[in-house]
Amino acid sequence: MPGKRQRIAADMTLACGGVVVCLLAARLVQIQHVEHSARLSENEQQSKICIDVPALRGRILDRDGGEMAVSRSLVKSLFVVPQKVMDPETLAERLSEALSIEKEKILDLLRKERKFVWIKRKLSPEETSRVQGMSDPALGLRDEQKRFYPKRRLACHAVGFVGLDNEGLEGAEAQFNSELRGTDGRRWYIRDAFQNLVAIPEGQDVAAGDGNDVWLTIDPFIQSVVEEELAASFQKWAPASASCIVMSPKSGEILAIACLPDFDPSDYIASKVEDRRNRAITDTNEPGSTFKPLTIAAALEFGIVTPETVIDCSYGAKAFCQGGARRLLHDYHPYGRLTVADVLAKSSNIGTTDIALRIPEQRYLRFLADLDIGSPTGIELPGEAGGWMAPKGWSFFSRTSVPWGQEVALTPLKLLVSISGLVNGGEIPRPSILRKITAPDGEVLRSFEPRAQRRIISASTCKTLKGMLKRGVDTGTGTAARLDGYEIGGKTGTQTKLMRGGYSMQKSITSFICFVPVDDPVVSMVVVLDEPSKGADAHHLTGGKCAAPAGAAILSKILPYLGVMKKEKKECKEK
Amino acid sequence: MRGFGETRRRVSAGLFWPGTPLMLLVAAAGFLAVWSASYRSAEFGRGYYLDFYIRQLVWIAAGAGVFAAFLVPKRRTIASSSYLVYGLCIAMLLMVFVFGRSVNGSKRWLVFGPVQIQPSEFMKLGVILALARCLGARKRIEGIRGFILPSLIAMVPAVLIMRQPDLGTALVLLPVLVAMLYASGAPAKLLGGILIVLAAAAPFSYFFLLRDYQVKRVDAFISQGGFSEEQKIGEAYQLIQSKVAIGSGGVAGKGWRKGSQNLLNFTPFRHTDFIFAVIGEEWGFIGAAGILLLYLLLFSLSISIAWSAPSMFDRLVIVGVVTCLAFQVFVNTAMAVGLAPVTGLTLPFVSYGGSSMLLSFASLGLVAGVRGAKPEPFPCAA
Repeated sequence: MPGKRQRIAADMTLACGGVVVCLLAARLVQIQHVEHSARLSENEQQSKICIDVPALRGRILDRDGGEMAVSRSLVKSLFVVPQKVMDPETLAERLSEALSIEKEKILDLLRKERKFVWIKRKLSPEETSRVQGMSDPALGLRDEQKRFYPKRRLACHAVGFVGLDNEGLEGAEAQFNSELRGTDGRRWYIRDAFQNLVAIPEGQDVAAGDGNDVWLTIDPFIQSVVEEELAASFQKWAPASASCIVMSPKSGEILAIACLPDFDPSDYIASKVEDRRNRAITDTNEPGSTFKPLTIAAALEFGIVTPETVIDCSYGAKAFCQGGARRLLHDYHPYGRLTVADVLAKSSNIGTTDIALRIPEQRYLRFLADLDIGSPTGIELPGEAGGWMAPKGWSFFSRTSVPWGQEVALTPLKLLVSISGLVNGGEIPRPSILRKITAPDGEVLRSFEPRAQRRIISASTCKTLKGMLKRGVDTGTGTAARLDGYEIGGKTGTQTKLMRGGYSMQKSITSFICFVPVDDPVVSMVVVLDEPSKGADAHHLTGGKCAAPAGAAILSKILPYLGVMKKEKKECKEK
Repeated sequence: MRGFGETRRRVSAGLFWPGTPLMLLVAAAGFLAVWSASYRSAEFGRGYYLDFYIRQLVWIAAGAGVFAAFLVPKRRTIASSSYLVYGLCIAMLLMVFVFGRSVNGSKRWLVFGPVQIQPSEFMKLGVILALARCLGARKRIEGIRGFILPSLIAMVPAVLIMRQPDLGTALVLLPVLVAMLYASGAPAKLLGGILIVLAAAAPFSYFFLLRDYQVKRVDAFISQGGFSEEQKIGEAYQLIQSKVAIGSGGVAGKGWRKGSQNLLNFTPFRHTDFIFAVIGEEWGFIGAAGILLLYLLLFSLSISIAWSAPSMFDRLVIVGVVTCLAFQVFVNTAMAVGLAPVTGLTLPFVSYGGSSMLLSFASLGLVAGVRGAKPEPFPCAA
C-alpha cells in the first residue's frame, strides 16, 4: 500500500499538472484571444498577395480621331523562376518544342542562379497558348504594354512621350497623364510558403479601368504640311531651331504646332534633351517688329492716330528726348514722312516709337497688361514659359524700346495669341490643344469650349488694323508671303539676338506672323526661324526673306484644304 | 487454469480502465489533425504528407494492439525482464551510431527494410523499467551513494542520445529520474540539493554542451518578439509560424482542414513536432485547451491506478511513465506557443510517427496492466 509520502508525491504531481495546464491555457488565451487580430493579420499578410493589373493606357488622337499614340498589351512575355524548376532537362525540351528555341539555350536560362529570368519576350499568340498548356509552376506569363506612335515624328512635341514605366514625361502624354493612365486593377492571390500562387479567391478583384482617350486639336494634314515646309526652310536657312504654330484665331484651337529639330517619341532616349523641348511654348525671345501691331493697335484704339496720320520718320535716324533722357533710334532705310499705315507696312522703328510716345504711359502699360504680356497663355501643355515685361516703372529707354519689340520677351505662341486677338474681331482667344476627352466606351467626358474671351480693341479698330497688316504683305516687308488670289495680313520680324553684353551683330531671330483671309480670318500662323545662317550675310537674313516664304508655302497648301476661296482678281480690283 | 484466469482478469481490468477510451480519444483527435496536416497544397518537389493520415491510422491500430499485448504478461515477468529490455535498448542505441541513418543532420534512425525505428523512443521505456526495478528492490535510499546506480541507469542513455544529437529526448530522462527517485523515497533534501546544483549548472551547458543549432534555438527563444531579419527566416521561423498559426485560430478556430497556415505550408513539421499548431489553428482555443485537459485527465487516471498497485515496482513504473509522457506534452505544447525553446519532442498519441505512437501505447499498457494485478513477491526481494 502506498505510504504517506507517495500520497504527497501524487498530489504534488497532480497539482503540478494542473498548474502547468493553467499556465499553457493562459498562454493560449494571450496568443489566441488578446493577440488574435495581430496574428491573423500576420497570417493574411504572408498568405495573401495582391498583384496590380495594369490598366491599358488611353490613346492620343488627332482632331479626326487618327491615332497618334496608342498602347498595345496583346503581347505576353514568358519568364521562369529557376529555383522552382524541378526537372530542367524535360522542361527545356518541352519549351524548345513550344518556342522553337535551341534546347541548350533554354537549359542555360533555367540554370541561372536568379529569382527571375526572361525566357522569351513578346510571344506570338500560338506560343502563348502552347506555354499556357504546359502549366508548369516554374513558368509565368506577364502582360507587357508597349506605347506606339503610329504617325512617327508627327507633332512629336505636342504628343510627347512616355518613360519605361509608361508614365507620360512630356507633351500631352505628361499633361493628360492622369486621364490617359486609367486606374490599375487588383487581383488577389493566395500564396503558400514556397511563394506559389495557389488560388484566386473570388469577389475581391478589382478590374482595371483603362485610360481615357485624349483628342487633340491637331489637324493631321496641316501638321504634316507645316512639318514638311518647316523642314524645307530648315534645310535652306540652317537655323539653330525653327518653330511654327497654326491656330484658329477665333476659337484658339491649335491646328498644328511643330518644332525643329524634332525627335522620335518611341525612341526619345536617342535624342538630345534640347530637341525634345517644345520651343514654340518654352522659348521666349524679344519679338522685334512683330510686336509693332500691338503698339499701333493701342494708338488706334485710343484714337490718338488714324491710319492717315503722318509721322516724321526722319532720315533713318532720329533722337527722342524727354527730360534729360535721350534715345537715338535707327531705321533700315530713310523713310522721311510716312502715314501710320506705312509705318507699320514698312516697319519703321522711329515711326512706331513716335506713335507710342503719343500714348499716355499708363494707358499703354494698361493695354499691354490687358494682353497679359509676360504671362503664359495657359495652353494644356507642360513647360510653357511666361515671357517677361517690366510691369511698371519704365525708364525712357523702355518707353522707346518696348513699342517695337525690345525689352519684352514672348513665346511664339503668346505672340500668335496676342496678334490673333487683334485681328479676330478684337477678343483675345484662349489657346487650346485639347479637343475632347472620351472614355474607352466613347462617352465624352470633357470637351473643349472656347473660354470667355476678353475684348481688347473694338471691331472697327480691328478692321483698320487688319487693312494695315494686309498692306504689309501686299507692299511692305512681307511681300514674299504674297499668294495670288488670297488676302493675307501679316507682319515680319527680324530681331537681333540679345547676347551677353548687348545685341549680337550676327545672330538674329526671324519671324513671320499672318492671318487669312483678312476679312474674316479662319487661320493664323507664326513661323520663327532662330539664327538662320546660310546664304547671304547676317544683315540680309530678315523675317521677310526667311520666314515669310516658309509661311507662304504652308498657306498655299493649307488654305484650299481649309476651304478658303481664292478671290477673282477682278473682284479685288472692284473693291 | 488459475494463471489463465488471472491474466484474463488483468487484461479485462486494463481494457475497461476509464483511461483506455480517453487515450483512444486523444489518438483519434491526433489522427484528425494529422489528416488535416496531410493536405497537399500546390507545393512541388515536396510531395510528402500526402498519405500520412492513412499510415497514422495503421500506427494507432498497431498501438492499440501493443497496449493490449502489454496487459498480458505478469507483473513479475515484466519486472524480471526489465534489465534485459534496458540492455537491448542500449544495444540499439549503440547500433544507431554504426548503422544509423541521418535525417536533417542527426542520426536517430535504424532502418530494417521498410521499417524505420527510433531507438531513443524505446530507450525511454527501457530506462523507466530499469529504474523501477533498481529503485523498487531497495528499502530506502539513505545517502548520496544510493543515487549513483539510478543516475547511471538514466545518464548513460541520456549521453548517448545527446550525441545523436537529440537534446529533447535526452532531457526527458532527467525528470523521469528525479520523479522516480522521489517516489521511491529518496531523501527530499538531498534530491532538492542535487536539483539546485543541476539548475545552477544549466547555464554553463549553453556555452559548453550545446551544439550551434541548439544555441541558436535558445537564442531565438530568449529574444522572442524582437527577431532579427536573419532569425525570422532561420531559427525563429518555426516559432513565429507556429504562434501565427495558433494565434490566427482564435477562440473557435478556422475549422478542420481550413487553416491557411497549415494548408499553405507555413507551419513547419506540422504533422510531427508542430501538430499542436495545427490543432490550435483549426480548432482554436477550445480544441487546444481541450486536448490539454484530456491529457490531464488521462494522467490523473494513470496515477490513481498507483493507489492499488501491488508493488513498489509497479508504482514506480506508473510514476516514470506519467512523468515521461507529461513532460513531453508540456515541452511540445510550450514550444508551440513559444514558452520553451524548439526541440524535437513529439506530442504523445497525436504526432505522426510509428515509434512514438507504439511507445506511448506500450507505456500506458504497462500502467493499465497494474490494474487488477495482485500483490506478489518482488523477484529480487527474495
